[in-house]
Amino acid sequence: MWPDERVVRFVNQHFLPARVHVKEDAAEFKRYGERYNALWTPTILELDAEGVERHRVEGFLPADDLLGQLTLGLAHMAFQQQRWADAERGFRQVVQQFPHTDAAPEALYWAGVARYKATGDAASLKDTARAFTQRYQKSTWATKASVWR
Amino acid sequence: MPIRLKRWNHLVKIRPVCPNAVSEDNAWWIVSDFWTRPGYIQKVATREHAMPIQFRHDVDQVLKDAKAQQKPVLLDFSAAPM
Repeated sequence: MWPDERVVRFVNQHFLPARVHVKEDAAEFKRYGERYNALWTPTILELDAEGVERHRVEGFLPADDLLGQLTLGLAHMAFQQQRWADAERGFRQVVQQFPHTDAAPEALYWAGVARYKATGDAASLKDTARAFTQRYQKSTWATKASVWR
Repeated sequence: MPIRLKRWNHLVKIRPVCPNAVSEDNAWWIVSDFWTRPGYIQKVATREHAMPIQFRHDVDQVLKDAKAQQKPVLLDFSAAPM
């Protein structure tokens, strides 16, 4: 996944990248592994500027899936910071650019929530529930959104 | 050559110089603020294309830098061959 040009560009553009290697950085791996409860490799954490974990990817993923997860993580970060418009934009970007990944239905759900947070209009939740009748019907996120119909 | 170069426009700054004054092979271009011949453009672009992620291992310092720059950190716990 790391040799993929799109992943390289995305990481370099959006993050300060750091790595602890299980053998080469054994002490650091143990220390940060305990701090962030990361006991398996590969584990990728997206930390906000304060060092707080906002998203986690465990296990290998192909490039599209990884990019979807990384984008989802940034959107979650914006959501946690109550930057609703940025969050919604990021979530919708996941759905548009990586529609066939596991990140997409989760992003569709949270895009609706982000819009609701921004506007207070419950129609955004209804619209999201309706969108789930058209795609990702069998996902857990469709089930979660079904109460909004 | 000009059509192919367009593919690299997102990586390097390229524009033709006096395109009607010289033949294509002898044309000079600007690549990342340096003058160069067309043949060199592909080498520069290929080098940028293959540039890996510059992972840092001084995590404490990375976290400090992240706070100072208000930028997220990607922390990779890895067992991949180095």
